[in-house]
Amino acid sequence: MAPKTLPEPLAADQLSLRIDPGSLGFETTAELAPLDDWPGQDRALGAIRMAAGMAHPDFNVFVLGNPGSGRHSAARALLRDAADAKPVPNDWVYVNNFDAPHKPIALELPPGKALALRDAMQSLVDELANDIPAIFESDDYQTKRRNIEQTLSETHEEAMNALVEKARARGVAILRTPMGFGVAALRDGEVLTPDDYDKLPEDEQEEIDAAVAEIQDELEAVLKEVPRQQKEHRRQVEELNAMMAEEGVDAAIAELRRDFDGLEKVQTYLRAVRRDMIENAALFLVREESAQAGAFPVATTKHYQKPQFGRYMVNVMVAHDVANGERAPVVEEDLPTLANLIGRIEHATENGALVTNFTMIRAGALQRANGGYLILDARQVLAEPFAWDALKRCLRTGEISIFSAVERFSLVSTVSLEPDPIPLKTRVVLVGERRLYYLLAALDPEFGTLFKIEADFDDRIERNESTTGTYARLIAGMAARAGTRPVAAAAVARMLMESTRMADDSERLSLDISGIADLLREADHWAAADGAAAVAPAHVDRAVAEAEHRAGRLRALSQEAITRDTVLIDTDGGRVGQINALSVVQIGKTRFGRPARVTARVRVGSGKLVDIEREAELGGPLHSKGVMILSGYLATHYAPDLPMSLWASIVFEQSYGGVDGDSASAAELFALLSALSGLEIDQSFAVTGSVNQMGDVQPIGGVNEKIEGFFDICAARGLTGRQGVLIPAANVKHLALRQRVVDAVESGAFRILPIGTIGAGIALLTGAEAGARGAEGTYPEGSVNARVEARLTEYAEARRAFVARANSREGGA
Amino acid sequence: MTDEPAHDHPRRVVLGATCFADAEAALGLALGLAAQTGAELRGLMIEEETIIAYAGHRRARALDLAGRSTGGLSVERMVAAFRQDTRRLEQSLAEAARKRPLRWSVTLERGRMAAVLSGAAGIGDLILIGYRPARPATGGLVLVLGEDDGRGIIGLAGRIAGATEQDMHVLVPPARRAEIAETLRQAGLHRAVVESYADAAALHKRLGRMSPAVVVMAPGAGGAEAAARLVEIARAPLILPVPAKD
Repeated sequence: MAPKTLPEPLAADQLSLRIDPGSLGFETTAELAPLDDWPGQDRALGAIRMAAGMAHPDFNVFVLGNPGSGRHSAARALLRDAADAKPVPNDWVYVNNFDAPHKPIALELPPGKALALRDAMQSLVDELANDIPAIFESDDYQTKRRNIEQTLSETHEEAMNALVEKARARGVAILRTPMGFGVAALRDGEVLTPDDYDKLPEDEQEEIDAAVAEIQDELEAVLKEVPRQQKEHRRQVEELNAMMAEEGVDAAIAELRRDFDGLEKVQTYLRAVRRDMIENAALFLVREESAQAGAFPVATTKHYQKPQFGRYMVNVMVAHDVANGERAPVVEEDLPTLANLIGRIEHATENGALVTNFTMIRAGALQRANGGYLILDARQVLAEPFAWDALKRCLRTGEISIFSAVERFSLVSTVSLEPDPIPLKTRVVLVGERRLYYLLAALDPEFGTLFKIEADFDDRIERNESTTGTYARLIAGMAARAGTRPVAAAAVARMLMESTRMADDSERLSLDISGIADLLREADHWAAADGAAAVAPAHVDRAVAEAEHRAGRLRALSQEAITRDTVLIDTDGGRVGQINALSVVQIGKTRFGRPARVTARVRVGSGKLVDIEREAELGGPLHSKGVMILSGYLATHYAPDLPMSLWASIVFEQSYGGVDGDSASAAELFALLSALSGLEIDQSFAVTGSVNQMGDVQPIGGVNEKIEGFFDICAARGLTGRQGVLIPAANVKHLALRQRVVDAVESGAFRILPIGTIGAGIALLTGAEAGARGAEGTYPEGSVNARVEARLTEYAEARRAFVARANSREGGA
Repeated sequence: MTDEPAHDHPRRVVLGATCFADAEAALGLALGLAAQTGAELRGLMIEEETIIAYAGHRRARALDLAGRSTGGLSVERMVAAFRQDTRRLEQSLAEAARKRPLRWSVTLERGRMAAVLSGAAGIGDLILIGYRPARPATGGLVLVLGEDDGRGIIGLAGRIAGATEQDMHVLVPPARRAEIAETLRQAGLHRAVVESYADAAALHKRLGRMSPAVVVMAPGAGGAEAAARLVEIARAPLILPVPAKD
């Protein structure tokens, strides 16, 4: 439908936000109370607070939003507040499992008690290292030990004496040879030689043989008794040692038991320690051959550091300093490797093999955060091998089990541990981008179960009087934290304008806090260069300009290609079937607009609309959809009673990269209508906007960059006063144009025209009325629509004639 | 008096044994004596004739320390065993010499123990006959004195007892009991226990029940022959100083 009147160009004050600094109510931000909050984030902050206060497990949080929106700082601050209200969690230690050393025991202790237990065990070892040797050097012990040995000796000596006597009586001797004991017959006190033996009568030989055999058998019996006697000796000595050690150990350990009274698992452990110390009292008797004892007396030696006492040590995993007012932990792990997350078991080499024990277990972030909160960056967790899987396992099972990646693959077969898992009572807060959250939600079936709370950080806030004041305080807070100069009200107004630019919407303020803070600090830098006492709007302008300049190499190259006519763009004159479309290029931090020539060619055909970008596989799906919509528009607006007999091709000239999005579909339709109507399009204009099948021009993104991109080309060539950009009317509220464009519009050298329909746009571009279908069903003569419809009708007639001719030739043949 | 201060500085310590097990059991003591006195340590593996003769019997067999049979014997096997034990003694002394300054040698000689020892040891040497007991040695150091042994041997025994942290027992003929007790007191050996023995039979009977760690036999109590006999009775290593002069 063609508009009754053509749209008027926008006034300069409609092109960007204007705020009267006087309306802000302050001179500089030094007068304002800094804001230590995150405006516009009530939804997200409420979610974090709820999760922090939730007693139930598995209500972990994913904080999603754009980088720079304050996700990390907000999570940190809110969790710290919540942690301060929580009780200090218990301490955790690992101790030796004397019955199964490869399964260390986890002990939970009241906060502050882990270090006390560790120190107490060290003192216990030191005390016994002095006491037990004294016990075993005492006269009492020595006498008892000697009695045991004497009894054994006497038993053996009696047996041997009796045997020796008997042997002598039987005329045999017991010899000690390199091959063992031998029993030899004697004659006159000398060993009987074989020759002498052979000369003896048979009965004498038999007697001798019998005597030798008898003594040999008895010797065998006596010798076989020795190992049993030695075993009995050892048993009695061990019994004596245990009895003596027991007294010393009981006396030393009594105080420890009192100090940890009421802690049943600790008492069980201490009973096991007592038993082991008694059984292994000999450990306390080991004396190293040290070259020197140093300047200090032996009594101060740290015996507990000696390797043999490692079995009694306490491996403190988590200790809370209650005395200094420590509260529940808030841990932020910025390198969430598997080991840093769940802990690790270290190994040492010993005789070429890898060995470990319970003292080599190290805590990870989950242990340190137990009873409190753990903040993790989602991308970092996902990037670390096995970390995500391990985190989910711990959350799902409610336990922290330590394993290593090499164990997981069974790459190394070595001595390792199976420590008791520690119960997990930690609220995990993942911080990440929206895309990651949605990917996890779609692809990981466990994600939604384990991370039930999403804290969605917004990236913009409605701009009104209230939020403007809040934003000013936000800037005041940034200035205070960063230590910058106070910001003058006019500079705050300028920053607000820039914030709307960042939000791509003059009715919205950006919540990219990080970006605003960077702008402030850069402006402060330029204020410092000027020697200014406060940051002024000119400093903000300078910061913006410098930033654009730094990132502007590609934009300059692109512009240069056009101004040097390497890329052909017309900015005046008229051409049929050719129009200036606008696109946005985003590479890294660089975002700029540039014009692109779109052309359309038409002829008779069978209704095919050729999207050359799509044919060359350079067009993305959104672009292809936009082009297909044009077919729908044509089919419903022109010659609806006739078959569509058009062949048309549309292309982005000199475009060799990918093209996507439908923001050029309005321009493509204008080019097509121009080609069909034969009317020239004024090349002074550029057009942006997407179109639907009804002919409505729909809003697009990047409107500011697109306008500026065309403006800069026109300005470089010299503004004619005719040039301008047609934008969707719905995009007017998104305008936040740079001052150079505003100034040109104000001086009448450039125009920005909002259009709501194709009809309004084609009238502006061709200078001809678009035309509305009358009651008789025709468009006004000479109107654009009439010309288009006439052309399509012409194509339909030509096609019908062609088909008839072809049929008659076939019939005739 | 047959003892002389030469015991303080023997020329050599002669460690004799009829098997490596016996030599090894006394090796620590031998090394200690050599180190204390600066003497050369001579290892002497004695290829005892009676043992060779015994090995020739067709029914001869041997038992190890645990009472297990080590198989049938032959002269060839026994001779080979002596050579092997000699090599093991050499290796032990070589290993010991790597850890401390030591002059040493090892030889293998065939004969009767007493004769070989008497022939190998010279004036001023210390003979140490090795023996490996099968039971703990609880009896400490036993000094056997004869009719006219004096302070020198007491001093030597006292030093060995002190160095090995052993109690000391002194067996003397009855007539010398008081004298020796006084000599011990003057030498500062207050804890030494003195006992008397009436004759050789009584001495053997007493020694057989004492389980000594080491026996020190004064030359006046007998020569190498008697020493070899006492070793079997005491079932302990025995030290016999060779007197400087008769």
